[in-house]
Amino acid sequence: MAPKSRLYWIVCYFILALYGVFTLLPIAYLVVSSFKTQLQIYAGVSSTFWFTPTLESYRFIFETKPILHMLMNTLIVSVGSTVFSLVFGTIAAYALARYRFRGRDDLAFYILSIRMFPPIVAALPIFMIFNNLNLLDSKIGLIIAYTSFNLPFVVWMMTGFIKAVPVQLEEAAMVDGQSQLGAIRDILLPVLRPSILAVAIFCIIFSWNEFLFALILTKSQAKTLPVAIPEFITWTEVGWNYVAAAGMVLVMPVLIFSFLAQRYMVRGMSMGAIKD
Amino acid sequence: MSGEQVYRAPLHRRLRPLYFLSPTLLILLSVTLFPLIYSLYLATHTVILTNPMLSGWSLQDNLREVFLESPEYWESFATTLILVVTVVSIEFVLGLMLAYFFYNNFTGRDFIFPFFLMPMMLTPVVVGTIWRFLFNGEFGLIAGLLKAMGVVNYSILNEPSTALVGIIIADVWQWTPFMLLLMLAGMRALPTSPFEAAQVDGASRFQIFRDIMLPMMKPVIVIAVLIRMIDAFNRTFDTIYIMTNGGPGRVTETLAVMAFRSSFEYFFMHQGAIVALSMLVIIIIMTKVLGRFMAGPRED
Repeated sequence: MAPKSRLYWIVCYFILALYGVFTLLPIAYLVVSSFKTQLQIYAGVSSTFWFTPTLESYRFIFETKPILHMLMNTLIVSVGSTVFSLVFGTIAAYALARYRFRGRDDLAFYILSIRMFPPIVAALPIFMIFNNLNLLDSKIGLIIAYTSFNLPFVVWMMTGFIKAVPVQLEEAAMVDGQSQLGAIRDILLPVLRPSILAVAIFCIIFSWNEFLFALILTKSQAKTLPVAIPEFITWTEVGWNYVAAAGMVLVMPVLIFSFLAQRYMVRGMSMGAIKD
Repeated sequence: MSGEQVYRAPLHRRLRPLYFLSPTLLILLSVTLFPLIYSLYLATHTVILTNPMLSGWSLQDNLREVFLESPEYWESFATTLILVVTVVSIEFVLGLMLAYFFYNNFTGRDFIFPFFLMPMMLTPVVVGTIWRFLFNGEFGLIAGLLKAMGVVNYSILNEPSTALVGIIIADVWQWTPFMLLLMLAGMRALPTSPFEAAQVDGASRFQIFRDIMLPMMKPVIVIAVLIRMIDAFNRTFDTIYIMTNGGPGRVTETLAVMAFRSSFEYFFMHQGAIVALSMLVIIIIMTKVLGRFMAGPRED
């Protein structure tokens, strides 16, 4: 497009800068607060970003709560549910993308509509079932629950991705004597690898951040870190530096991970969700 | 559609897609169908965990209890409606505007863009705590700024008139990046030739944006707004639970929070089930109406 006026650029930069401050300030506030002592929290606005940093809060939370144990739980549950939903979801997506059969579109719509199911509707009955199956406070239980939330997303995205790959490639391999499974393994999956990666990243982040079901379904053994965060908030609200430190431990892995994976995520969004 | 098999295959081949779909369907049915049936059972009976003596069929009583005897349900309904409409409109406008700026080429664009996306990656529980402490009247940053402007010890979340505003700010902060991401992807997928043609014809930049770009982006806008509406309706639970737990009084108690508190704080399982099921009904109506209203006549 034609060159834009100076006024346009001034307005553009100004709004971007303003919104940038709005976006970054709360995160900066979390970071600095986690390196403060109780006393420094109360020190007033002028010293919000000017103080002597200390690791005291981190030492305290790791000593008083099984942070590492909960962090491991969060990781195991996130990775576990991501693997299951990717395997089952991609196979289902293959059926929806590559076969024509009666009721296919209804099935696809049913799977997608699960995304709209209010989690709170499922929460109470799942609590009751898990209670009966002895799955409460177990990592397997949480993995099953998270897999079911991730599945509709995986099926929806992967169906679009698979449809975008010309079927002729697989057919050619099958004419050359490959089995259907061989064609999927050697032809389709390598082409899909970046897409699968993008979908996996979203699944991991979603499971990592989930709160409601972790709150209801776990007590101690399988407790994930998000559930522990509110426990640092006492009714007098004085423990903000501890909350901030625990929040940092929870949030940092995802932030670093998403920065490294940014490229794939943007591609994933623009290919699957939009084009279909 | 390309890439579909149309020939008639033998039965065992024709059943193959069902084998492929069965694990997914099995899992999804077990987490939707059973909970649905179980919720219907709860909704039609009296189930109070702290008082197991009461039991039996009581659909009419339950419905009267929730919808007629107290205004609580309708208060929560209104709160939810205000919350969803406000956050989705603000996030849409902000996201579209930011996407329009990021659509330009300028130095440092690709460097700063990831920072604008950061909030949507953060755990909602942590986002809730950050904003709760930012708003804290004694030592929070925002309260400190207000103090500098002459307002003493004002806790936004503790005042009935502003608590919901606090929740809305936190939600806008976290989810505008999602709108930005989808809008930008949508803009970049558009062909540029219509814009160039319009410019040759003397259209202003605003005219091009309003009359050409926006209509072309309609499919993306519909998807983005729908996803955000559904999520704002269903999943704003975490932040509210942390920031106010529905208070002060009940001013920030949305339907999701109300369902949770009925079931897991007061143990009135039947009430929780009715509120939750009503959410399911609302969400179905919402998507049907909005989908039709926004997509216009379908052309398949």
